[in-house]
Amino acid sequence: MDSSLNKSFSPHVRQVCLSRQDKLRLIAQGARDILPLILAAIPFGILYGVLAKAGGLSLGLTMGMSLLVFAGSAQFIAVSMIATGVAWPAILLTTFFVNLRHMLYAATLVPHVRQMSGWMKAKIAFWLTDESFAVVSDWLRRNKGKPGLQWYYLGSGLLMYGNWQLCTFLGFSLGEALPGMEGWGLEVAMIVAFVGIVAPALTSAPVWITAAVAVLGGVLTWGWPHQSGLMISSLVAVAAGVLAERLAERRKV
Amino acid sequence: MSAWWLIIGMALITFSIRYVLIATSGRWQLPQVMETALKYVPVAVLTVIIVQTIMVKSSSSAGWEVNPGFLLSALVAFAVARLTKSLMITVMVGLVCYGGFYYFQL
Repeated sequence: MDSSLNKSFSPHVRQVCLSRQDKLRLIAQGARDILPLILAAIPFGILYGVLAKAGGLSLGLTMGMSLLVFAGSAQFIAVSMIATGVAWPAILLTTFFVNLRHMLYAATLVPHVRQMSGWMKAKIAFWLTDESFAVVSDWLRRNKGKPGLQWYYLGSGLLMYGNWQLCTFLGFSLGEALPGMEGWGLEVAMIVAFVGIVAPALTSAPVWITAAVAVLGGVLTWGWPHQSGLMISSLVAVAAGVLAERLAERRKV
Repeated sequence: MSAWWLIIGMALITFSIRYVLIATSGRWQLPQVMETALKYVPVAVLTVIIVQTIMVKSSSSAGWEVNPGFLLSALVAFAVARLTKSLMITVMVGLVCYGGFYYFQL
């Protein structure tokens, strides 16, 4: 296993393994790979700014939420809840449930971040979004056991973060110039971007089974409160994938 | 006080969810079955997000209906992604496809 090989080196030695040039190359690669997802995220950032302004938030609060929270779907829900006067504890609870899927993302990164410094771990956690996870997990799949995740992550995370701030500001400034933007069906950008990640990853029977169960689970749990349907369907689909892998191994032996 | 406290609360909650497992990652070892399971997380979560976004609130009943433009774009994107393996081309073609569908619908 590559990961056990890495563990035998001290973190210091592993840092030296990557030259400055290698690091810059990885940062650039991360930034380049996340570009399609940024294209998909631009309308959402703008829409968030538009909705925040329409909901009566000041520019400072609108930007503050993007800068400090940096979680698209939670921000959307919070803004609409603030606008309709929902009590703060309910908004905080909703934030918790809507973002719970990030814990699943974090768990996936755990085997790859052990050796990193505390500061780097904090940065990786702060920039963890659907988009950066999609890109980074794809990179991990294609570069098993290779060092340099943190630099790749830095490039993709920083660009995603910067873009989100810019789009928030644009949306707030444009505001009324974009009437009815909610109805344009901009969600399609996220759909096609995620399809672009998932489709090439379907390389074995267990992964296909995971996807099939996820489709079924998604249909059955649509509309469950606080995205609990998303969490439960995902977990069941993962379990199906593991089971399929086990069965496939047993048949081989 | 001000809504700033709400934002700070949201920020703390969101960061904690993202950080707790990463921060403690050096202190525990995942059981083998979990390591296996984590491989399937991206496909599982992203697929559910895709499906549940294609399903929209029904305009006629209390439940859901499929947004035909979303479904068509997703299917086209799937084919393009399998053929080209390029995320950029997939997103571009998917968006153009939806734009065309939206335009001719109206």
